Amino acid sequence: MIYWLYERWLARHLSVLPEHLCFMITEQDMRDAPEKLAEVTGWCLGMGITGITFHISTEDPARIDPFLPFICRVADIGELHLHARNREEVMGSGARVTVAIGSSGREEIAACIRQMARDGVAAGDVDEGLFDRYLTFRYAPDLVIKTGQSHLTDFLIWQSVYSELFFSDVNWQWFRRVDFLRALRDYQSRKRRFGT
Amino acid sequence: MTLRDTIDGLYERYLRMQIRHVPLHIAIIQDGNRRYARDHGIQTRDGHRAGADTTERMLDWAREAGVKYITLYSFSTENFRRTDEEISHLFALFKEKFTRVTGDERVHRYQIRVRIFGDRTMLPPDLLERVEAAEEATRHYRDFFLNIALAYGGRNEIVCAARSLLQQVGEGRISPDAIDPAMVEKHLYSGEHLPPVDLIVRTGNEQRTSNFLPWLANGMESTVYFAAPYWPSFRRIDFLRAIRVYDQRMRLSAGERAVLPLSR
Repeated sequence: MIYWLYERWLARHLSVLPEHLCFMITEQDMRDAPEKLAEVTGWCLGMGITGITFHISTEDPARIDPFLPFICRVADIGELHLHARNREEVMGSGARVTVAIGSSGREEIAACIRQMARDGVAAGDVDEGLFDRYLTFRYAPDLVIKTGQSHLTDFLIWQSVYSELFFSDVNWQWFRRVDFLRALRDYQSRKRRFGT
Repeated sequence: MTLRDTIDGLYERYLRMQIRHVPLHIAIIQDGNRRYARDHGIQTRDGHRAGADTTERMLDWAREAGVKYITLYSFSTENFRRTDEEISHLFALFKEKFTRVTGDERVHRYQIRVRIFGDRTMLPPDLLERVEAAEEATRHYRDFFLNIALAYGGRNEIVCAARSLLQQVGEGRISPDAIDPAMVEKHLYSGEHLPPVDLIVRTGNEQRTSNFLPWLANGMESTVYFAAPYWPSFRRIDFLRAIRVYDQRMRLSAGERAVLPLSR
């Protein structure tokens, strides 16, 4: 009851929301709480956040296979873009929700340069704008949330250079809607400068 | 000696005793010099000077803790958008500090190699000349490495690596298929080897990395420590707390018993 009131109070005081939100979770998180990803997607959509990405770090994407039915529930409420083993599958319709399994940001950058080389791009023609066109994931998250641990993740390393970071002490499994709203409140209080 | 100094001293010792895993490479975003100046009613340039004093103290703490590599975010490609006056004061300060490196007794006694990372073409020639003199004077040192990011931008670093690789592809020296993360890494600025960042610290209560070391910090999944104090107010205790966060992560991954923080 108290939480419900607190949640309502928090939600009412949020006016500046991230356009794109990225969660960095792990294989262990999926094992501990397979249903959480679709649940959190619902929280985001409920707040009106329509750019949502989940990165699941794993050394072997095959280990995430048992949880695919849980991940695919996202397609009931949004347009799921599932990236795994260099393939992308699209399911459902609505707000775009990207789930990237085992993707590496360094590999994404190397792949961009490899493709530029194959396309015969001249060295002098490379700039940041050209990179933006070669990237697999073409958006910059406004807020990156990592639960349970305080470290960076090898994903969207180009795209997230100006992102606000939020590290939560709470593990993914125990991450409640009230923790999510607190992260959004924290984001709202930040002054973004984009490097200047 | 005030009571606070005594307590700080004891607390420092307590923190040092707890730390078992020391990061090899710490990257620091020294934020808050200007806000410190504003809060203390002093000029911006004096805020930067106070920050430079903290940097000198921190280098002693790092060396004493056994940290071999320190990389400082001193001036970004985006910082060129600041006022001409602030930029010229900052460059004068850098020039003064680099000039002093050559004669600094500590640099030679502790064999500290000083290098800059960044787009050298964006630096004024007189500053670059002092920088290169400092690099030359410490070229053979191997015990400690002080890397200073000047005119640095993380995306710019990656763009430069791409240009260098495409140049070699054009000359037929490498095939497109051979381009992988390891090869890109070898072509990041200067092409000199820098180990992955183990711990990235930012002061001034901002919680973002602002285009600093996307490859070596984000790409290598560096531990992060955000500290509330402005850089001139950053103390040894804050530095040790940052190392403790790294230490805790290493203990967890090694299956060791984590020491719970006494306070934060």
